[in-house]
Amino acid sequence: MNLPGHTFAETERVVNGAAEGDGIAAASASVNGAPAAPVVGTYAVKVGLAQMLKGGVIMDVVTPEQAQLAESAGACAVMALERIPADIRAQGQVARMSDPGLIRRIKAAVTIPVMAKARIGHFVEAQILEAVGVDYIDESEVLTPADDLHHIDKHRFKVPFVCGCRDLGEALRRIGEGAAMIRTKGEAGTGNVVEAVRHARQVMGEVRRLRTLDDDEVYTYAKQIGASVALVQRTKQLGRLPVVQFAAGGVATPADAAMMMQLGMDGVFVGSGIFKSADPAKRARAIVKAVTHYQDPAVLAEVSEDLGEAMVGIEMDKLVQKWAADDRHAAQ
Amino acid sequence: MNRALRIGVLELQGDFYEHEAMLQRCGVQPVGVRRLAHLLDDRGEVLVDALVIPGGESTTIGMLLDELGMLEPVRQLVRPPHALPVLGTCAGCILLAREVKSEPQLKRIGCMDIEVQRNAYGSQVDSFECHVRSEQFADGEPLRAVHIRAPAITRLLQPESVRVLAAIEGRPVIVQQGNLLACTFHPELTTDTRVHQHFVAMVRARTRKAMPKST
Repeated sequence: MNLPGHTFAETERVVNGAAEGDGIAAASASVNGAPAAPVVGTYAVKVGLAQMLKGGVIMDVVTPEQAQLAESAGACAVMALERIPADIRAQGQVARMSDPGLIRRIKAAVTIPVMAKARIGHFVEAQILEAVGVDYIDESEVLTPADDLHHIDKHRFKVPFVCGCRDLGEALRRIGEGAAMIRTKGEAGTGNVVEAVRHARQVMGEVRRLRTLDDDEVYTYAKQIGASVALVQRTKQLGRLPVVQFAAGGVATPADAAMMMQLGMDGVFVGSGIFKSADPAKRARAIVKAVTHYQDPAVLAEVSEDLGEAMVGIEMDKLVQKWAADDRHAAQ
Repeated sequence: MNRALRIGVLELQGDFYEHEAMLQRCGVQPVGVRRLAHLLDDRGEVLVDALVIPGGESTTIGMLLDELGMLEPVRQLVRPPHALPVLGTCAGCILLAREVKSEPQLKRIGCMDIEVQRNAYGSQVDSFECHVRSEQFADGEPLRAVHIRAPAITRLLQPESVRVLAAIEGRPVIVQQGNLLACTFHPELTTDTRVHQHFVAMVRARTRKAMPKST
């Protein structure tokens, strides 16, 4: 199914109530036929970058050297962090936005997009990351939440945001707040894909059931899942989330990555899985190829050979703190 | 006879489905290309009439082309005598460029006589949209040019054979050299089919020439 390329940009109409058609017409009317002045930070440009990332792998890195390794292994973007989720788990302290100096050094080391995480609700961290010039902000449950009730009003920013979700209602609430890209929450730093699978299946399953609803039933359904009627209607009409959706949280092997793609995700975030493994360069390359050839078991077998030790996984019932279902931001 | 065109779309990474939707709107059924066997059969017969290289990350697509053993065969197809028509947008434009400013090592096809600079406008917060007027696409509204971490075409290395079809403030944004068409922005993200229609017309013209009166 090939949705037209402007489909995601048109989601703006139900998010902002913007005029139909040419998105820049309202922002800068052309004068006497002269070309309209360039406009930055439009919705089309925000969701457009996510569209360019599709079919790709976004890798967590903590140093400029790791960022360069990720880039040469074919990462379509990197997530600049001070500590990868597995270490945040091990240390159990308050986790905050990374040092802007580190982000700048990582930006200087690579040519691919650089993302960074802000705490949920911490709009000032987001302002700082925008000032540093990151290409995407991940408002992330992996960091300690800064606001237990509210997320960031993402419409106020020129930089686009990606947010995590566990179900359709949560995804559409984030899109309503201005997120231009969605990812599953999964359980970062565990090397265990079970939660990412759960969240992907939950969203895809809810979309499939939504498509079977009568139009009259959509209003009550929207109320039940706590999402705007307009976004629920649009999701029903498209048969998928109305923005790009990646998998994240526990992906550790090429097979994990390909499975998430076969479940309908548009691309994959890999966090601790690469640099906590025995041979990061080889594993990174293998996961990139697995995402491109996710439907080809022969290629998947080939790239999965001799990768060395994967990161040590954590069983979910041994996990002390589940970030995805953290009570501190359960109110959403 | 008017055989249906087979336009391949490189499906390694990026917004290839958007290009496929655009080609469908132009009345062409796209063919996904993920491996060399989708371009050439066992006997070396070329299976597509043209190739689209989508937007995405040029480093990722270039690395995959190389590792999948497709880079040199594609280069051979793009060069004369075969001269396979190629449309490249954004990352695709970079992959076509003979020179990439300060990144000579970037893996690419490199057959078009232009020099490009990656991320020429800055980071994502500088990504922009604007209108572009051009004589080539003079009918109707200006083109809506969605630039996302876009490259700039900084130099024409063979000015006599590279035609500038559209420019913003003197900077070329759509250029054509023979059967190669490169665009620094993303027409595939809009409702405007004119750039793709132009490409399809290029492909039809060449296919007609290559297949003399078989009926």
